Amino acid sequence: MAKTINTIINNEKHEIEVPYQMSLLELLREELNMTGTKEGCGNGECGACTVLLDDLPVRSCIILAHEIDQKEVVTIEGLKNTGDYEKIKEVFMAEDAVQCGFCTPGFVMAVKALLNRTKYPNDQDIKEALGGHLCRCTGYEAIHKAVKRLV
Amino acid sequence: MVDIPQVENRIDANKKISGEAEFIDDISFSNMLHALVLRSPHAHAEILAIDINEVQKLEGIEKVITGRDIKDEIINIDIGDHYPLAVDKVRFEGEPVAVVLAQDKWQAKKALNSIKVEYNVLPHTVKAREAIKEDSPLIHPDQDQYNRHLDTNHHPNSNIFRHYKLRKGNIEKAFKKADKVIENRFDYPQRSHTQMETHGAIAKWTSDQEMIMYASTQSPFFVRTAIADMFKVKATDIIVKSGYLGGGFGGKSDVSIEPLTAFAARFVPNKYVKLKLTREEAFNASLIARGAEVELKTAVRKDGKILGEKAKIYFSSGAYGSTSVHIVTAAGHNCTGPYEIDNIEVDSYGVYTNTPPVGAFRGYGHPEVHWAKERQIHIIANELGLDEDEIRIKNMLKPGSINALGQKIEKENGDLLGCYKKIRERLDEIEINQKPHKVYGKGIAAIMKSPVMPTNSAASATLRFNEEGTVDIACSGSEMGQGTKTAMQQIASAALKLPLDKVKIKEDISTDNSPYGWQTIGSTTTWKAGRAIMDAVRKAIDKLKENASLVLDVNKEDLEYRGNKIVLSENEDLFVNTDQICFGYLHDNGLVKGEPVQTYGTYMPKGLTYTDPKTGQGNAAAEWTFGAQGVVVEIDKETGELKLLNMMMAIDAGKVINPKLARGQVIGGMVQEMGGALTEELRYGKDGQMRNNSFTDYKIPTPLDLYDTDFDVYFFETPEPIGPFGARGIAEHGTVGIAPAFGNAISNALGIELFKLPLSNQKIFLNMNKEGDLYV
Ligand code: FES
Ligand code: FES
Repeated sequence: MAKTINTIINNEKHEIEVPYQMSLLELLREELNMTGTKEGCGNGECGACTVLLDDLPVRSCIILAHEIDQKEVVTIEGLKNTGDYEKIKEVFMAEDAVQCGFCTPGFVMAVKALLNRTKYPNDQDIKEALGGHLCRCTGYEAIHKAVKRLV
Repeated sequence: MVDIPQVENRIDANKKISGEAEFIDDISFSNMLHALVLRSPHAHAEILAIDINEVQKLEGIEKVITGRDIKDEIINIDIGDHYPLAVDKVRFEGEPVAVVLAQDKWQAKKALNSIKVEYNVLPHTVKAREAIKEDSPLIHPDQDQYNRHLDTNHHPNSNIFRHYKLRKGNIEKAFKKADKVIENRFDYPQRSHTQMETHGAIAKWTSDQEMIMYASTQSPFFVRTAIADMFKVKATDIIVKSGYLGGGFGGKSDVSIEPLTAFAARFVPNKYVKLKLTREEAFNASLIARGAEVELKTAVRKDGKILGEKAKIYFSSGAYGSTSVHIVTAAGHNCTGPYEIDNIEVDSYGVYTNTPPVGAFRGYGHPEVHWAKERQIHIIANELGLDEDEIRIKNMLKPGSINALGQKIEKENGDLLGCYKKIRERLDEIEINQKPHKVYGKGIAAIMKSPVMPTNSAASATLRFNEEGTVDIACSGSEMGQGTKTAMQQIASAALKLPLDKVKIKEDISTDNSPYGWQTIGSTTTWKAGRAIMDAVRKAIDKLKENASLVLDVNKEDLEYRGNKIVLSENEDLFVNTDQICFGYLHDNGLVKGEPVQTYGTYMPKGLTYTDPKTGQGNAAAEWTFGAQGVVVEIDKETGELKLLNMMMAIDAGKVINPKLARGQVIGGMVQEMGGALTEELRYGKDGQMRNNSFTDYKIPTPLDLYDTDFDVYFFETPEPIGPFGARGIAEHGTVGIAPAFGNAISNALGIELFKLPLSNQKIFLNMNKEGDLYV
């Protein structure tokens, strides 16, 4: 069972047939070869697979591919063309908020979504934006410092 | 002191932030088959029958493999107790029973469900303390017949596959002389590494009987050797490649899923086979961690002098033993902590249990025994009415002390006392802003750590000057987030006296042409591979001088290397530029003098020996690192909820190569261990099935737990004689004393003694409302 969907992914129009059981993460990684979005759990628990769906951060592993019909998706690959990417990259580098880097694209997407929502995030905003993301390497200190630099 | 050039960013930062960095699951090949694994639902059972007839006929299924396909392919690292697929019997829930290979993973999933297996369920045991009882079911009844690469001192007809004994002095005399004997039992349950990237491997056998494998491994050379041994082929016919790892922490060392992937691929020559674990599988079908019960019986004098210590350590090591044999040893000889104790009797046991096999995890036996030892010191202080600092300092290892292994501690081993005092000083100066209904506690622990490794665990490096005067370096050591390659670039740049941008480090490893390195474990890469780079640089400089001496027509000995040029010592005006001679000097008439400069460097730990079978002593630790850690906690008097306010460490790093990366390693280690201290514990149901194999049920620290925490990291720099510029490894040490620091802080806040990790809010709540101590 499959459905044909129309969607915009990273500014590019796609008309694709997707099986009903396929997740958005699978569509991105396995069909479209966009491997920048990572799978850490496949259950919506870690945030590694975060992408923007109509500007809101979602966990692509628990969104079905056919649900993005008529919607717009931005992944880490598409983020580079948006203004905030360089800013986010700069602060992540300055604070060394990256160790193994597996969680990083997810965090970057979450920070981008945060900046979409408010230019001047406060502590509460940062906590809400990052709270559900897991990183096993950094202990979060560097990530928090990086994001606070954006304020 | 040499100034190490500082990089602005780690060398892989850009690729990782942009998502370009390729991890194992980002690699695929056309015609690649997906391997899906049918796993045992039982903790312990005989396999009576497996029916794969129907499945094999299903569309798109290339091959179904079961334990019946195994001839004598066995994984024998230290003990030959493990097949890549269960043969006749399963020993833990999650053990592979069959593998389905298919082009399409949806089809493979469907097929998996239609394999029928008949089991005869056997009694099981998941705790070492149960498993050592005489009437306990035997998990490996014929362990006597197993081939072993080393004598593990197993106990026949029991589940004990490893027994490490350590004896020093005379323990009974110490007990007789003691004013007090204090006996306690401490429990550190099993945990999961939960690297954010689960394990993956892709393998292909060629028609020439060569195997190429891409794997998420910290130990490509080790995997190569293990797989070659399994198939009885030459190690050079096995090529293992590894790139970026999404976290390792020891859980991707030794072998995990690689033997199974290699075995499955053998049935479909010329096709790549990919096995990538789901999160659930990473929990219950890869390596797990820790799992130790520690009994300490300590003889003390009234003034706090420790006269002797008797310890028994029982590891619930899981269904197979090879990956934890040396953890048992490391825990054994570190369980007396960073103290000089004259009379010691330690028995450390590796015990088969019906859980996934325990393997290396950041800290490698040290956090387990420090949890016990540093809590014990705190309790002794309370019982004797002494200050815990006084007891620690009185007994501390210092230059001239003889440690448990019989090694003499030297000044160069580091400044333990300085680290300890620094943490006490910092804890004292923190003023707490008290809130209603809360209590506060500060906790401290002293730590020591040594890597435990085979006596011949070599590291190496190659160095090549390019025609333009740039340098390419490859060295052993996998990059899994610790920043090893960045540190290597800095070490090489400092040693070569060349700017950072002239030195490039190869990041990935391929066993067919990368410099050999035993494994990337034990926080030894900076120390060992760094040393190998220094060796390669030394040889390169010598070659450069040789070339220069031909060009300048002087003696090599009279020349001085200055990075970009080589000068005559007594007359600086006579020189030649490095980039003119690194490829041989080209005269105007085309004549070339000298040769291209390409060198290799090696390092082999010096003087390591096996431990004596009777005393357990010997030169088993190649280096020592000392430090101290502290936490400040706030506890809600009504709910028991604990909040971490401060976390800190002082460590003698020898020489800090990169302060930012070093801090990140220490903090990352501490927070990882905070998980073990407060929330993480693998739980099993009555049927032996893992109950919490997801992030929802197995709680690791989240950003919210740390948002308001202040961190302090202090580095002491007592140069280590072998390490590059005096550097020691520091990647694991953050984990070692965090659990007891929390335990001691809770004791100080509430006056209760907790003995069993994790120190969950619920456990704190139950204990603070009870008379006497609850062992829950
Ligand atoms: S992979 Fe989607 S939330 Fe973890
Ligand atoms: S950097 Fe490794 S999981 Fe976050």
